[in-house]
Amino acid sequence: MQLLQIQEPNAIKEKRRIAVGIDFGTTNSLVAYSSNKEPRVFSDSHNNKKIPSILSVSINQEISIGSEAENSLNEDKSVFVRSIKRLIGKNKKDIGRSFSSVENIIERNGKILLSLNGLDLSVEEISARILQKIKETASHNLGEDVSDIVVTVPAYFDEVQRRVVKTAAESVGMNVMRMINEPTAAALAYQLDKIDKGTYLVYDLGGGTFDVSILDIQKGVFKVVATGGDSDLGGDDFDYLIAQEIEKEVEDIKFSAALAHGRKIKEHLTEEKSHKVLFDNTSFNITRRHFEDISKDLLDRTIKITRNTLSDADLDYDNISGVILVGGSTRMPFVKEALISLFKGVKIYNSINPDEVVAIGASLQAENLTQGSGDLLLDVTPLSLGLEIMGGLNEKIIHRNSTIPCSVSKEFTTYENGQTGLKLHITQGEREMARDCRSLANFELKGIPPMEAGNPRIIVNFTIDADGLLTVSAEEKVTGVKQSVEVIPTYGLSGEDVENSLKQSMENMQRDHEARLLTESKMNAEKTTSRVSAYIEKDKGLITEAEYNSICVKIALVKEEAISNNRLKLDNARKELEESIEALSALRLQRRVGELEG
Amino acid sequence: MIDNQIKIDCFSVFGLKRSYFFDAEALNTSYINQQSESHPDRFYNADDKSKAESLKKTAELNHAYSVLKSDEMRARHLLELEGIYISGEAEILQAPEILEEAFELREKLASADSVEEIRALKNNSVEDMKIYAEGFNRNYQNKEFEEASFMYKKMVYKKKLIKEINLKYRELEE
Repeated sequence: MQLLQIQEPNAIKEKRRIAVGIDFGTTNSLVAYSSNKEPRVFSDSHNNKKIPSILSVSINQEISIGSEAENSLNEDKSVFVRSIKRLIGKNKKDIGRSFSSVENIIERNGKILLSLNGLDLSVEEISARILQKIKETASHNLGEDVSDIVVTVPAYFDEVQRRVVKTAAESVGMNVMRMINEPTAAALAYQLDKIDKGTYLVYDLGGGTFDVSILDIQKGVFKVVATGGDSDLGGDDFDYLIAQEIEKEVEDIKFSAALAHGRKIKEHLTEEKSHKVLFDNTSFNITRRHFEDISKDLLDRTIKITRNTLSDADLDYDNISGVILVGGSTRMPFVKEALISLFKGVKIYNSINPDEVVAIGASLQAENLTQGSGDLLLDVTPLSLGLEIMGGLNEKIIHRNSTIPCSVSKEFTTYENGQTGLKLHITQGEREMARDCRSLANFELKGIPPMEAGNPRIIVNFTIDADGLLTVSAEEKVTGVKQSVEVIPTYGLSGEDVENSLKQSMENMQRDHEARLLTESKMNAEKTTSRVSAYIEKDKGLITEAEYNSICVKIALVKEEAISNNRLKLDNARKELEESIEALSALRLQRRVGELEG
Repeated sequence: MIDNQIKIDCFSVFGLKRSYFFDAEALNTSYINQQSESHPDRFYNADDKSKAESLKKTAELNHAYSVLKSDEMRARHLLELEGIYISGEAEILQAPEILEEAFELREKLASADSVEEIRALKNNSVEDMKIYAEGFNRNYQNKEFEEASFMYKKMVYKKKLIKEINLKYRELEE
């Protein structure tokens, strides 16, 4: 007889899910794990918590990543990439000074490839390799394979950039549970839910980027109310200024060497009042005071952005209950001093290591998701999303700083008789004209049955999910023809673009509004002239030659004003034309009545 | 183009009575409580159907909350619930009854070149907003929807003007 072993159903316990938080940083990446709200940052095999976001390729095309890559920097023939994050979602022309270490950048099918010792790697692949290294670090520390992650991205990242990060992680077998914004993650790390409620500002000055986020915190719900930043302002810029000073005093120094010294000197000046470096024949000495003088402009830029973000949220300094410092660059003493004087002695949160705070927040979010409880993050979308409509105007569908997830539907119709397709051009940006915004995707709703213009009812829906990813769908209500599109990660908006787009939008608000009104006036004028032309041609026999000529002159005048771009004159000319055609048709009606009666 | 989202009553989403002036604290509490229950983060391990429902529910909450939080959007929503639809911002700004006053104030703003002048303009505009809000509320309560619509249009244009004043203020400060 064979004994069957029967297992109690309750004994099959669901395997405990383990998820980690990853801060995929420009300079360094970190990984943390939280259990019972106690987060821990892991170290790699070189005992570094800050895993350098560096990939190097040796002459034999061997790839090393992280600390190993950094250790190989001194090997002669190795080629390395740092700050890959700055390239995500960008094209070749966007590539700035941070990539001097890579000589060969190739663009193939709109995708950037970096040629490293004969090995061509895409930005996505390099990101994926780095993420894989981080994952290995986590698995090694936990003693089991980890694939569920929460990964952080800068607040200004758009869908395309978010998708690149997500796809990169997925390509090396990771499951991205959620993507959250870095400043928001930092706020989570302080576990401020213990405090009843308040409004907090996160000041995040990283290696290459600056972000500000303002959050309302109430009963463990963290609601972002506004976000702002500059993606081309970070600690690197401070190093750069010191490097320039070194260059002035030390002859024949390579700028890259000066930069490396610049970074070290900056770090020393956090603790010391002055610092001295000895070179072969000379020495370089700089005081903290002098360093602060030369970098005052950079600090002022962050203060200005902080102020503008507050004003976006209709807030003032005294509405803020606390300021949270994130990013290694906030260690510079004058940053904290400036914020204390600006916010008049408000509590500054800097007890958590500013390099680790984002990864810690991400690990707490990973724990929240696996448990289905805990603090809740309500984040916003950094830029408006819209559609190009008639006349090249940008119609915003979802406005920036809208809380996600969100879903907005708008109804459109056709403007030509028998039109069977509708082209949709999805844009991102704050400007009034679509051509001034970033183009995200194009798609066409086909198969609309031919109907008279204005009859089809086309519902276009924009949905942004909890990761900040956009899906656009369109449906014709009469027939139910449906189509949807996701933004494909080929080419998108760069951080600089977001910043520029916002800046330009502010500067151009007046001009844009005028441009929009002018375009509308032109469209109205065009409608009127084509209607009137058709009318007088059709009834040519029924009106006198003088009447016909007078109308033609007025049409010509409208067309002329449309070219001259003078909106008020154009509107007047159009009104005049409309009035005279009304008068004429009334006159015609009288004549017709007269004829019938006569 | 018609906004398709006006079909829901944003007040009822939070169990509030339709009114221009309302209990902001009650709105916040209801919003936070409902988000805590229905947000996708709470349904990470759930089935696809629950996930989709959670997304839909939270998107609706966020929409309704943003409508009620904004003075102009709330006024517009109250009118829409009464079946009164008003054109978009660009057309409101061009309406003859608005145009003249708007023109005058813009001139003033353009010629203002001291922080004090700008601040005075802003204070006046903010005061005006309060008057329009009270006017709107009175008209709405008395079911004088045409008058309420006019007040709403004034609010839209004043809000826009305040935005421009703020921009100019920032410029002067820098």
